[in-house]
Amino acid sequence: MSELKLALREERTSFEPGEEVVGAAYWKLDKPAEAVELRLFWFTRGKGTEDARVVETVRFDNPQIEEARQFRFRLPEGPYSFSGKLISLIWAIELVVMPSKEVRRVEITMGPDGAETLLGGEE
Amino acid sequence: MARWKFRLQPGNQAMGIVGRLFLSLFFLFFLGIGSIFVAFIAHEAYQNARTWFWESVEAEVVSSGIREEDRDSNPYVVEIEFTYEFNGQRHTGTRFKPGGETAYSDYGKAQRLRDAHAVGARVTAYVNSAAPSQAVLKRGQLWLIPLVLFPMIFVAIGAGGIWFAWRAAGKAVTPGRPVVESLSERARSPGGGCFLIGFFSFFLLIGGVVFVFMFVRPVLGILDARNWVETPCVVESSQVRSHRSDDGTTYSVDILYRYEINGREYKSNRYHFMGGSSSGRGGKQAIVREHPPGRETVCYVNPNDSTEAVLERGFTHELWFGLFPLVFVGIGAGGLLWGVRKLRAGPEAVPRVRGLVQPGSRAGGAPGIPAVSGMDEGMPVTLKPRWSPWGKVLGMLFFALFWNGITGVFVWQVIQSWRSGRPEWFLTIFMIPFVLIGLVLIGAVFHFVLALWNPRPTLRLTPGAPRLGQAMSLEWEFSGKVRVIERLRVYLEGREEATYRRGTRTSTDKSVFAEIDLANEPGRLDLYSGRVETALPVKTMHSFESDNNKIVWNIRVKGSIARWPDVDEEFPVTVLPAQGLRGGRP
Repeated sequence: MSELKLALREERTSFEPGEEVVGAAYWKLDKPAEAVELRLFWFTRGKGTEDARVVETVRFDNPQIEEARQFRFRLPEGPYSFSGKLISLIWAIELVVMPSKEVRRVEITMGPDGAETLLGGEE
Repeated sequence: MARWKFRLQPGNQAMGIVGRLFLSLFFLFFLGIGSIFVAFIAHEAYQNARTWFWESVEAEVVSSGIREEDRDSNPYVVEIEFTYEFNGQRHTGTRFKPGGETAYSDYGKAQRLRDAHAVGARVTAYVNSAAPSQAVLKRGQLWLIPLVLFPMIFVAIGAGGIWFAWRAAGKAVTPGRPVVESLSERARSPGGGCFLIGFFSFFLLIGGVVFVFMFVRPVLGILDARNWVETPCVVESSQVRSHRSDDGTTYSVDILYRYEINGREYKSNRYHFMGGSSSGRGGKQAIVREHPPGRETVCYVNPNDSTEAVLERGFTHELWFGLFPLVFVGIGAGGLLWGVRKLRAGPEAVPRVRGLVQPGSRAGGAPGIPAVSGMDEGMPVTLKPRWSPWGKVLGMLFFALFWNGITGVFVWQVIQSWRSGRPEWFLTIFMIPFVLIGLVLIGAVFHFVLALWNPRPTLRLTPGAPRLGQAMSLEWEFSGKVRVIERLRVYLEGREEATYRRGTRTSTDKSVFAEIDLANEPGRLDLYSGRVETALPVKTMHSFESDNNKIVWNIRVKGSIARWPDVDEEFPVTVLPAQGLRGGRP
């Protein structure tokens, strides 16, 4: 099984809409891969069937067996990270090895002041 | 200076042995049932297919007739005996086709087969060369072979489930190398479109086939029978036949009558063109009473085939039941359209926005944020209600008809059971809550019909798609009998909507997280046309829309009217994320 690592600059996990997320990915593959992808995406948790949308993908074709790469994503204006009675929305970055689908994930928060919006928490 | 630190995220927990065993047992059930059916169908298919490798020889029919069995299912058995020679030896056969006896519920079909194999007729027999005493007059049908694939689905689900239970668990317990499932992969799936297309195509196909058999064929028969010849006939026997199954007992009319054409006697037991059986014994008993044995009456005979006759050639009320499969056709067609649209749209599609009517440019549109197409987000917009007054009436009418239509079938069965003096108590009690819901739905239809005369609000919002924190202005005006409104409340409502599936049922839960009053004072006439300015707080949630989860904002207008349905309208509004946040530079 491959060794995958994902880190964000200054270990920062809170961002405002439109900000840049900068980080680095490291992988040590146990066999050659077709590609390695970094994906900025959001997904939902809660009572509803879970949804997910990839917002941006950076693809490294024919990666080295062992390699470290920097990446940079620009966050869109929304949707904000939020948590309500029925639904939560979480932003994340994933490092995915293709085609084995081995994966490493880091979750982040995106919203005004870098905070998650709590529904019903304030008027 | 930038500081880097790699951090791992914990992986999935291993599935316990009890969980694996439970899953295995569950899927073993699928595997077992599927395998039994596969074996059964495969055996039948093999028996049929092997006759295609048997040798054909000439045979002579030595006897043929129709025997009536004392049973309700397929009582007319065709018996054909034939002789043939194979490798110099004479044999006698009695099997018309592979498998069991050749029996029909329609006497006419049995008669046609018997007539085609009259005594002395030279026919072709198919002989098993390995056992020449085995022979049939008709080879087995091959359509059973592809039918094996159907129970194979259950075998695949069972085997796949067991494999998944043990393989997935095995993967998760690998020490020191935690693995998480890729959540972003979900975004790349076809979004369930293929599943929907398959599921609803099945509905459409089954509904269509049943509709053809229950309605189209009988109607074509009725139209054709207009030209059939009126012929005297005599009833030989008449009875109501019962057909028991897991879903209860159904009944059919079986009146056997004889008639003569060109000096030859024929028999038929077709009463009308709506074949099969249905619930309700009383009506069928009445028909049987009208046709006692020995009664002389008239039947209608097909001039092109004297074995085909019918007693009642007109439209009968049972034909209405033939329209019932159209419900499945409608559901199938609608679902199929939905699936095709979902598949075409794909997972990255930008959701559509309702309630915006003015042309212009576009705002929003990032995945999850409703696209404000056809307008300038800063321009005023006349909002459209989520449901128009007529939409509410027609929607509720359709639902009430659908519900009461299905419930009515069972209620009819209950009524028939009481009328026949043998009440079905369990079904009667079981149906009570369904009937009550049906009555409430009928009441709701009347409620919405009365509400058609309510005053109607028109709302104008500036900007049409406000951003969080941005000032917005709402103007409203009522048309109609405004003075009947005793109290008016206009407010903004923020709501979560989560859609999920339990088995075959899809449900949507809703939870209101914000209510912001715009106007809420009793007895003030100036509220019936007014203007208010407000702004949504930055630290709340903007509109959000994905396949199964939504944040929706609505302007609700509620007006109390004494002794009449209240005004209750909902106008969807698209709220965009705040502008000018620290990181929001272009």
